[in-house]
Amino acid sequence: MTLLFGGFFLLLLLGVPIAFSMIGVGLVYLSFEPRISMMVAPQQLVDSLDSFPLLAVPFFVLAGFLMNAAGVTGRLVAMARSLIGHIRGGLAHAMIMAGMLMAGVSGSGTADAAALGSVMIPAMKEDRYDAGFAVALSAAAGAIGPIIPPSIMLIIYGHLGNVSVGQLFLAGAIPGVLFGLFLMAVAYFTARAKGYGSDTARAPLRVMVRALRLGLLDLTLPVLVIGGIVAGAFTPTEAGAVAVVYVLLIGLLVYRTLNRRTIVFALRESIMVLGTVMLTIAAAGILQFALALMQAGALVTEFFAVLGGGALLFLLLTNVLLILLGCVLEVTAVLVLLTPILVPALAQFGIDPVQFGVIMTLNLAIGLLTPPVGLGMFVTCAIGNVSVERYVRAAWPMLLALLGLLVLVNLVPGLTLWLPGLAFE
Amino acid sequence: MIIDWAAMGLLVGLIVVTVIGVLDRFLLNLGLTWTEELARFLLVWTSFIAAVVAARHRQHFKVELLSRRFGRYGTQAIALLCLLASVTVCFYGVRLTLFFDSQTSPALGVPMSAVYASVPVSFALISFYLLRDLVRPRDDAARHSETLP
Repeated sequence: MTLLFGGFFLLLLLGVPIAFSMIGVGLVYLSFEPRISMMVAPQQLVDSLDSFPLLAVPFFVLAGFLMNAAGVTGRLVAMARSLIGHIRGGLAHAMIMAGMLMAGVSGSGTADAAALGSVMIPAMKEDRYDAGFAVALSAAAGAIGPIIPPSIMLIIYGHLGNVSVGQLFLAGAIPGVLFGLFLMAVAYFTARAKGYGSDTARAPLRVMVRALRLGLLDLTLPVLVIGGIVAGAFTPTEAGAVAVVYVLLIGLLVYRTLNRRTIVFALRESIMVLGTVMLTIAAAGILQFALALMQAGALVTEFFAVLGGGALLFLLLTNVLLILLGCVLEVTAVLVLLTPILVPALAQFGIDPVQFGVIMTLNLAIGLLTPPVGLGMFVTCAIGNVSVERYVRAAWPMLLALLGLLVLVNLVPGLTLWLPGLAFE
Repeated sequence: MIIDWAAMGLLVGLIVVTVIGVLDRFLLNLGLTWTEELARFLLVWTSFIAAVVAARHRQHFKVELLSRRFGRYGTQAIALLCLLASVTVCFYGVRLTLFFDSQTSPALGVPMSAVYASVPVSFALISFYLLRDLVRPRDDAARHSETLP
């Protein structure tokens, strides 16, 4: 097992793409295992994708890109601005609120961050915000995406760990809202201390109503998706297909912001994301097969049992591991590597796999925001034309607040388990 | 490129089939059994063809902390390693496809080899693009942050 992981990380460090690193070490292992046919490799590739819950991944990826192409971002920001724009740091709060609403449709944090950043960073610079702050905040507001349902990370976790995706989605709701509130608190104090933003009068009721009416159809979608899953009307996969059709309908018929060119663009972007994400999941199938033969799950469970120390030590170690790996590895890769070996160890510590799914996702969302490889960070830095150093100087209070939230979610199971308990008991 | 359009077409097909399944459950009540199976099979094909597209555009996730300093030969060595893995998968994929020739799927009744064929087809195409990277390596460090996951 050490050899397997060692070889994998060596290849990875040398710059071999993650999927090929996993396929490579898997093939080498299989060729040294005389009991097993090499045909297992292609079979595992197919079988790990042949799953109904995983179908939700392409749907929510596409729904996110279509939503951005249809101009949902602009309407949500306008709405949020009319509602809370008068608070100190108004634009910042509006961006966070829009990020939370977008998270209810799209499943990916980086796409949300890019959409928010391109709308908000120029507006915030104009309103006397520091560019580094605007960039860091748009990355962070986008990172709410994978916590608030639907979430591609939670779908992958549920698929690999055999956990109900519907329950995971509900479990993410409260931590997701807290994520937004924590960011708003940071934005409020920073804006006050540094004098960001101009004083804005409260928007008149007439303006609020108008913005709400314009955004009403956009708001319906998260309600439809999450409500439909909670009510048991459809599975997360079906909700994904419904979301795609809904965005297409309002974009084509109501707002008329979608056309052939923008739809093809959204499809193209989705294919690029899917190609990388799905191949990583498929390739992980080979690695998992090898790990299962070595009974790696049992070894890890035993390791933690020997270590003693109980649930708290386990959580501490796994959180540190997740943060570290999340800083250097792509999110999907961390998920496919760790979910199958960590989830079996949860039972002996009495940790609910639903809670642990949200813990993992939160760790990885923070990983999106940290150097050296945080993708959310890179994307927004590129949009705002800001150096990583300047980003970090503005981002650290936000990261600190999110670490606080992470500790809370670890220690208080009710934050994640209360909602799914209500809906599924 | 044809392969880009094929991937997009498969994705559209995937959505259409799933929507038919949802409509059937809520409105039509025909009790269609093939939609779920077809959707899963389409997912497999879409994913692998999309992986070919990603290989064509050199988009697969990698860690570039070290490799950026390797220069031309390093990039070629990596491409060669990937090519070896890819060709091996393709070879055993062909054998697997032939192996499942006589087995048919429960709902659609199509031979399972139609599903497993996605591996040799896609990995043959991926091998082709890796070969291109090997013969004509290009510094792709500049575009590493271009797409979103």
